[in-house]
Amino acid sequence: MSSSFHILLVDDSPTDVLIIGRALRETNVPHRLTTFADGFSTLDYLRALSRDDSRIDETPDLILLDLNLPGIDGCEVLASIKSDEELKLIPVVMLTTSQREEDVAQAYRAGANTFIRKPDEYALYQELVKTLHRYWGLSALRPPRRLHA
Amino acid sequence: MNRTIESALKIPPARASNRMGRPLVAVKILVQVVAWSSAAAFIYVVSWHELGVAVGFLGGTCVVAMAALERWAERQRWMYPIEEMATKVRAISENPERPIETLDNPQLAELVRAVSEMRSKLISMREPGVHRNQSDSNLAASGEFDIVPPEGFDFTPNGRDSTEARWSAGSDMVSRLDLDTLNWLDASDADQTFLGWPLRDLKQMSFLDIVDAKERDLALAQIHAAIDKGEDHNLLYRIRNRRGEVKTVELHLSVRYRKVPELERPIPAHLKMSMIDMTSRPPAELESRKRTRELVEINQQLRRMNRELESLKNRYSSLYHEAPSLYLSVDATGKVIECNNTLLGTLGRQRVDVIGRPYVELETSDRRGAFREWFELLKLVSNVEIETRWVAKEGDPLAIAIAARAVRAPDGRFQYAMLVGRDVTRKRELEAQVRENSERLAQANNELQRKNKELDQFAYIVAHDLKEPLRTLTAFSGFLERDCGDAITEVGRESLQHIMDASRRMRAFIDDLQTLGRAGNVTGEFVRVNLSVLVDRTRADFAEQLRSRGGGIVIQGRLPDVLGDPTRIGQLISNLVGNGLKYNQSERPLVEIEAVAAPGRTIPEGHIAFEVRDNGIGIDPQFHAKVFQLFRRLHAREEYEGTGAGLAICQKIVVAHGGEIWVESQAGKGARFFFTLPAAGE
Repeated sequence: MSSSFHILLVDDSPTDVLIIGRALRETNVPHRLTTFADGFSTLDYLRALSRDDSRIDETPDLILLDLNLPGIDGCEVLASIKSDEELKLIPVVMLTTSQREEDVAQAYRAGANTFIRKPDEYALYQELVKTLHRYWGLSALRPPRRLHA
Repeated sequence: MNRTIESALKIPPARASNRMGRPLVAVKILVQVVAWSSAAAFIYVVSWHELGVAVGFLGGTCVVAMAALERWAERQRWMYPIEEMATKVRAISENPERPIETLDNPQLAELVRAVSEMRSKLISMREPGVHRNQSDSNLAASGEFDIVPPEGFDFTPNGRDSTEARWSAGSDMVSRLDLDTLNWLDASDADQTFLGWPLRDLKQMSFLDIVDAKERDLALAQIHAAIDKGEDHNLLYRIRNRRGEVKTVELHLSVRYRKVPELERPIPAHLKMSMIDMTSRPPAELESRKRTRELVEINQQLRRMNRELESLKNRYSSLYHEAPSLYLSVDATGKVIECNNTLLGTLGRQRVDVIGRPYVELETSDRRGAFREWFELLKLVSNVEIETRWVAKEGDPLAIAIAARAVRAPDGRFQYAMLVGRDVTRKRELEAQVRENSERLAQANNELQRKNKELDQFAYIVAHDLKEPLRTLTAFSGFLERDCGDAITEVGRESLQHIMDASRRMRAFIDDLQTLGRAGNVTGEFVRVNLSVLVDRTRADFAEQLRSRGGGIVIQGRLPDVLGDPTRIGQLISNLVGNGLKYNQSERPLVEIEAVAAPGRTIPEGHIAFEVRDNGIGIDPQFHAKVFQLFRRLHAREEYEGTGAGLAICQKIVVAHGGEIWVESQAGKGARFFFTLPAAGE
C-alpha cells in the first residue's frame, strides 16, 4: 500500500477544490493532492512527467476530472489522456455537476473509468473521498508505472 | 272549257306542227286576196256603182278578220312546241321504267312545274275569260304533275281522275282502287282488256283476288305500306286473268287526294294503280327489276338511318363540344384530328389553328420532348395519364392533366388517341400555396423546436452553473458552523440554519428545472414499455414511506404496453404516484393505476388512456388547469414540501409522447389523473 495516494484534481472552481481538499483531510485519507484549473496545464504537466524517468513516482494514481473547464473541456482532456500510450493507464474519474446522459455516454466513450456526480452536501463529499480511496487506493491494482520498465 | 283545253292538249305533236300550218297559210292568202280585191273593187265601185257601200263594208270586214286570224295563228305557232315539250316531260315523269335515281329528281319536278306554268299562261292568253288560278287547278286536276299533294294546293274536287283515266285510255293500264277493299273503282280500257273483266265485274273484285295465292300476303303488306307512305313503285306480282293466263305485272301505286272544305289538308281519296305487263320480259330483266326494287327499299332505309344518324350526331355533337372537359383526338403521327369547343375556348384558339396541326404545338416548348415518350408508350399500353402544360393565347401556360386512351382497330393496330384533359392550373396553384404554407409552418415548427431545445439547454446550463455556488454556500455554511462554533451566538446559528435551508430549497428548484429541461427531450426511437415494471420500481422507491405510514400502490386490471422513452415514463409514473401519496391525509394512503377504455374525452388516435387515482386531499376544480404550471404550489411550504414542478414535468413528458394529461377531482375527494400514451399493440 502506497502511503501517498496521489490524486490529480482538475477543476476550475476554487471552492470545489477547497471542499475536496478539506474532505480528504478530515477523513484522514493518506493522500497527495495536485490541482490544475484548466486542461492545457494539466496535459502539459502529465506529458512532462511521462517523458521524465526521474519523476516517474510523481505519476498520479487517480485523476479527478471536471467536465466544465475553461479552454478545452474535460472530455477533450480525457480524450487526449486516453489516446496517449503512456497516460492512458492512469484511471480517470469524471467528477462533475452534470448528469446529462449525453455527457455520461460521451465520457465513457472517451475512456472514462467512472463517472461520478458531484454531491450536494459536504458530508457526501467525505463519503465520496473515502470510497474513492478505498477502491482506487486500496482495492484496485494500480497499473505499472512504465510498460517497458 | 276544260274540254277546249283538253282537246288542245290532245292534239298529237306531230300532227300539230306539220298539218296545222298549211291550211292556215292558204286561208291567209285567200283572205288577203279577198281583202285586196275588195279594196280595188271598192275604189272602182265607189266611183261608178251604187253598190259601193256594201262592197266597202265587205272589204273592211275582211281586213279586220285577217288581223284576228294572224294573231291566232301566231299564238298557235308558239303553243305547239310547248305542248310537245309538256307531253315529253310528262312521258318521262310518268314512265314507270325510268331509272330509280330520277324518282325524286328535283330537276325533273322543277321542269314539270315550269312547263305546267308556261302552258297555263298560254292557255289563259288564249282564253281571256279564264281566271288564272282556275286554269292552274285544271292543270293540276289533269293529274300528271303532282304525286304527293303540295301543301295548300287547290284541288278540284271531282272530275280529275275520270279525265285522267280517259286520258290514259289509249294503251296505258291505269285504274283506281278503293283504299280499304282494293276493289276497282275505275279501269282504263287497256286494263279491262288485259285482265279480261269488264269494269262492271272489276268493281266487284279486289286486286288481291287476282294475285297469285303465294304472293297475296306479300302484296297485301306492300300495298298497305304504299298507302301509308303515299306511293310505291316497281312492285312485281304474278296475277291470273280471266282467261286463266298467269301474267307478271309491275305496279306503280300512288295515293290520290281530295280537298274537303272543312279540312285544310286534302284527304286520301283512292289509290291510283299503273300496271305494266312484264310477262314477256326476259327473266333477267325481271330479276333486275326485283333487285331494283330491293335497292330502292334499301336506299329508303339508308336514308331513314341517315336522318336518324344526323339527329344523333347533332345531339352528341353538343355533348362533345360543350362538355366541361377538353377533348382531343390525335392520329398516329401526332396530329390533331378533332377537338371540342371547350378546348378552343380554354386556349383562346381558332379551330383552324388546332385541327391538322401537330399536338405538341399546344404544349409549352419544354414539354415537347416528353410527348414522344408518352405517346409511344400509349401505343403500347393503351392508357396513359400525364400532366403537362399548354400554351394559352393569353396569359400564363395552363397546367393540364391528361388521360389518354389508344383507340385500336379490331386487329389491335393503333389507330388514334383520345385525350381528355382537365385544366388543373387553379388546383396546382392552390396546392403550391398549401405546400408553401406547410413548408413555412414546418420551418416555424423547426424554429420553435430549436428554440425550445435552446431553452432547455439554457435552463440546464443555468441550473448546472447555479449548483457550484450553491454547493459553496451549503458547504461553507457548515464549515463556518464547525470551525467557529464557539464564536457564533444562538441568533447567528439560527441565521446559518436559514441559509442552509434556503440553499437546500434552491437546490431542489434547480434539480427540478434540470429535470424539466430534460423531460421534453425524449430520446430517439420509442421502445415498448411495460408500465407494470415501472410501477413496481416506483413501489420499491417508496417502500420506506409505505412501510412507515402504511398504504399501497395497486395496479387494477392489466396495464397494456406503451411505446415511448422508458426513463421519462418511469419519471411520469413516479411523479404521479408520489403526488398521490404525498397529498394524502388518509389513514391508509392508496394509489391505484388502471388502463381506461373510455376516459370521458376523445384521445389521440392510437393512444391508450391510463388513470392514476388516490384517496388524498383532492384538488378544487378551479385549480385543475393551474396544477400543471411550473412551480405552481397550492399549499404552504410548511404543509407540503415541494417545488411545484412535478406535474409540469409530467405534462411535458406526456406531450413529448404526443399524449394528453388532465385531472378530475373535487377538494377532499381524492384526485384522478388521466394521461394517454401511444399503444404498443399486442
